[in-house]
Amino acid sequence: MPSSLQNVEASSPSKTVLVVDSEIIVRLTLSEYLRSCGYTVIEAASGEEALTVLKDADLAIDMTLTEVELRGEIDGFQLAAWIRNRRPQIGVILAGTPARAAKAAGDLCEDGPLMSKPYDPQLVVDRIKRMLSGHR
Amino acid sequence: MVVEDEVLVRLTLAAVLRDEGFTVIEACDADEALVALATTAIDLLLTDVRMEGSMDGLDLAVQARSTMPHLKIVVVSGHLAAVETHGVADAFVPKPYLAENVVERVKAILNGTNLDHAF
Repeated sequence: MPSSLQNVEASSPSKTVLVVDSEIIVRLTLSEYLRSCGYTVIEAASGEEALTVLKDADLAIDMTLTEVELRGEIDGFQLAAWIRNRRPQIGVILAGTPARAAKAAGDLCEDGPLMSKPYDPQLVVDRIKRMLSGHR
Repeated sequence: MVVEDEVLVRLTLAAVLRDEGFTVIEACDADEALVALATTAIDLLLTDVRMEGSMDGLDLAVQARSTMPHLKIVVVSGHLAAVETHGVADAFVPKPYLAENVVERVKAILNGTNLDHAF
């Protein structure tokens, strides 16, 4: 198992955040931000992928940051309900928009391993907007 | 970039690559991969072949190669033989694989010491 995941099992100071978003630009940008402030990040592109991760006993998740609208049959509300019923020790943040997700990521960084934001969350939003406008 | 539709396989391989110091973008299918290729600087595309979505990994490799001729490409598959990748990849890795072996292959390709050419 990779050391970044072994750290989770060994209860190291590193915390693990599951980022769930079906838009790859948003997901990779949020994940990069959270990694840069010390979190181990697991990415899921759908509610179904998130459940696969959450049901894996080898993966210790501390927090889930999820978009509301997701591809597939499971949306963010359903995912949050599953977590609260089955894994209530895992925190859940329902974002709703990339801007809210970036704000939440900034708050997580202030509470996280390095206790500081690597940079202003607004830069995350700006980067997402720039990448999306370049693609669409 | 790692393109793999099995999330546990994808996250494990990505984590091993990150442990080795690589920046890794994860895509769950070819459609996501094309978005990432269009918006992000990527040195190497590592893709599975059989995936959900509008195209499989071989079609993705062909399209990526046509627009980015210098992009390094590794194809992994549990269903194809190397010869069936039709020369589109710099390397072919059969499944199942050890993630550490894939990392060594990625390093060799990016360092220019890969011994596999033109499958």
